[in-house]
Amino acid sequence: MLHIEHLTKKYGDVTVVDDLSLHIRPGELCAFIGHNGAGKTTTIKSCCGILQFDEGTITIDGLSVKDQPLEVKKRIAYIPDNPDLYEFLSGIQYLQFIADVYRVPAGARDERIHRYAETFQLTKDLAQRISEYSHGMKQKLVMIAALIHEPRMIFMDEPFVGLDPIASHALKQEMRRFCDDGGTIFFSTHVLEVAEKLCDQVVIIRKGKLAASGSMEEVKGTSSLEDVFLELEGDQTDA
Amino acid sequence: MFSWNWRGTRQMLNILIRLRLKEMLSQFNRKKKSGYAKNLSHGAYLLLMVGVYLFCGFSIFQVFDAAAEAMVRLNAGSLYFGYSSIVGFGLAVIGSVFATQSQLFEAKDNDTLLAMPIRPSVILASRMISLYIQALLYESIMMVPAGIAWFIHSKDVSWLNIVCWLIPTLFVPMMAITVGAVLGWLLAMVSSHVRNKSYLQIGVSMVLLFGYFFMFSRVTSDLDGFTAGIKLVTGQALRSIWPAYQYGLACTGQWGSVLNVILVSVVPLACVWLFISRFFFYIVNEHHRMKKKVYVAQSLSVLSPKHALLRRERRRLFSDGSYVLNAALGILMAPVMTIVFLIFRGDLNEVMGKLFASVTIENIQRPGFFSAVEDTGMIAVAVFLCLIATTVTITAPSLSLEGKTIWHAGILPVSGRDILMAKVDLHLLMSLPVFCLCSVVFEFFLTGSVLARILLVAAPVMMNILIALLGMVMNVIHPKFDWTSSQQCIKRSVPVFVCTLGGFFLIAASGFVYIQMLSDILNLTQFLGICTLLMAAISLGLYAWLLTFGVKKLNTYYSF
Repeated sequence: MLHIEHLTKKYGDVTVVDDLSLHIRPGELCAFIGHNGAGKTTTIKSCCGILQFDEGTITIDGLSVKDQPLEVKKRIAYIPDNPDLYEFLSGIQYLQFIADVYRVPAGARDERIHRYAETFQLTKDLAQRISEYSHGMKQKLVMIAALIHEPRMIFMDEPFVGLDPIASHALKQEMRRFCDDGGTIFFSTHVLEVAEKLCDQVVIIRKGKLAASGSMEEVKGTSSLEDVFLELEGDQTDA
Repeated sequence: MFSWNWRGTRQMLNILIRLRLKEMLSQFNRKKKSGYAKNLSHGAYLLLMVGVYLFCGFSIFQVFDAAAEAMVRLNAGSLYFGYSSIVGFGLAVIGSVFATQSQLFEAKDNDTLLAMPIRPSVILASRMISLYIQALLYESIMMVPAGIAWFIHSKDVSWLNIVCWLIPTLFVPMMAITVGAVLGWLLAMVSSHVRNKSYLQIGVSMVLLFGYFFMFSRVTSDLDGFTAGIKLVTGQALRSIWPAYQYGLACTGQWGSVLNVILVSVVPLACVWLFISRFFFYIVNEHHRMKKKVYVAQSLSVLSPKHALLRRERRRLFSDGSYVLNAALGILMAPVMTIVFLIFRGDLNEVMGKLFASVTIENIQRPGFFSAVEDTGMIAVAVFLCLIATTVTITAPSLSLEGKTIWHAGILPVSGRDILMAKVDLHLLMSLPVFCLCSVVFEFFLTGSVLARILLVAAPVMMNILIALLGMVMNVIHPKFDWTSSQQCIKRSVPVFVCTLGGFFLIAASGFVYIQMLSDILNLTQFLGICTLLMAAISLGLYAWLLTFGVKKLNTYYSF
């Protein structure tokens, strides 16, 4: 589903992502782990076509992000770490806008908005302006917006930040259901326990380079994901 | 035991004032610039601002110049300064009402500052000082040219005269802040119970603007009356406005009145400051009380992606009263001017003569000029509509207004072309029908050749298209996504200045070129035809740039 080959991204002289390659198959729920500034957000933004990269190729569902960006964007969704949304719109107006842009048919959009708004307990608040939303409410809204066009793959950047326990639980269930139905999720997180319990695959990045990747069992073996991560970080410090 | 730590308070006040000043100056900054480029950018922007200020000041000077000459002759200084203080005070109030509302009562950092060990009175004092600077700038646009005009015509001006004028002039903005703070508070209270705050803002602004223009016309009419000897210089009317009367007397050297002006400026402001400080916690939390609107599920309409983008732009425009008032005022002005024409069409020659009184061409100043040349009325109206079109700057801040939401443009399956053109389309959909309608109305009441009739519609249309594209191009080249207040993009950004001044300069330069070089070769109609074609050619160039380099540049902004 997602093929990243030799991805390199520089900001001036600083190489943020360095020759990164990884593959994720359809139906996989993959956690993307790394310390602050490791290059997680840059990688995710490059995959979504938000950020132009210097070298390498990224293909999603067989389509090149660089050469066919619009076709790729129709198949994916992105949930940013900080939900900066159009504050001049109400929640329902925002969802309507997203549904229009992704050409979601009339009946389907009504049903999906109703279903996901109920799941994330946001139905009653949809008439309010987004400017009146709390951080968590915005996070829920952006998740509904991501699911509304039924993408094949979702990129999430720290999706659990700011969510209340109920919404967090609902999100985990939705993520699992989405992947069980054949969708693919690639998300960055610092919550290693959630990643360990929820994910099939894990990718660990360190200073822009791939440190480890594979199925959860392969990467962590008999120890915990936290131990593996700290061990890898320790190696880096020693080096 | 309560004790006031003066040293700590002064330090805190200094810190907050520095913060306010940095915020005011931050609008001149452009991200990712440093050293020489930054200084150059600052310098260019400062020059632009000074240029605009001087231009406005010079225009106001023209209004006061003749009145000052006559009033000096009549020895009616107190009356002259009293009247000038009314218009200066009015402008400062208009300029500070919404600034007071947003900076005192609805500031984004209210919660942050109130959580710190800072007294509300200190927070308010720091903000009032920054508001005072703004009000002083507004007031000085009127009162400095009025003062200069007076001192030019006065025979014996001493330093004492200037000091007596300067001291009360520095205090008048305090009265404006007092009124602005009270009005701003009322507005904040009312708007906390209103969902569509932008409509309230538009309504109040229109009332204030029309009120101000009415007042300004009354003042200039009274001054004209005194100048022409039609009205008696008694000052009876001015006595009823005691502060203005005292200001007038103060400017003529009466120290008792200087003291009166100081007292009438400082005391009410101090009372308002103490009162708001006392209830600051209550005031800033008032907006949380509004009842939540509950969503009731309903079937949603479906639009194409392009129409959805257009609707988003429309909603953005109408959600912000300040955006409408600053960027679309010309759209409101064009029909108002057309209606004024319809009402006073019998006096068209006189009206046009006044409008073009400052143009130094003998034949334009000649009475009956508009009936002398068949097309001139139509050409004058077309140029006038073009001038109004330069004030429509919807596209100029539109990309900057995306702010931190710009990531949507990168992730949505729509092209950069669609995103940019939605903004241009909104500008044109808002302006073209109104301007076309105005032109068509004028067609009924003016006579002219077929070419003039075509140009009466075509020239304003092309000017609208040109300004829409120029605004978009300028904003793509010079975006500002890291704003803290949308006002920074809407009111004080480089693209907005370039559009308004650029359009105005284009018209002025065209007139100059025609008068100096082409008036013997071409008639006005032919020249306007060529200008319209030139506008079309420039627009085509801007459109081509937008769809190629503009889209490429936009792609680099997605990850802001």
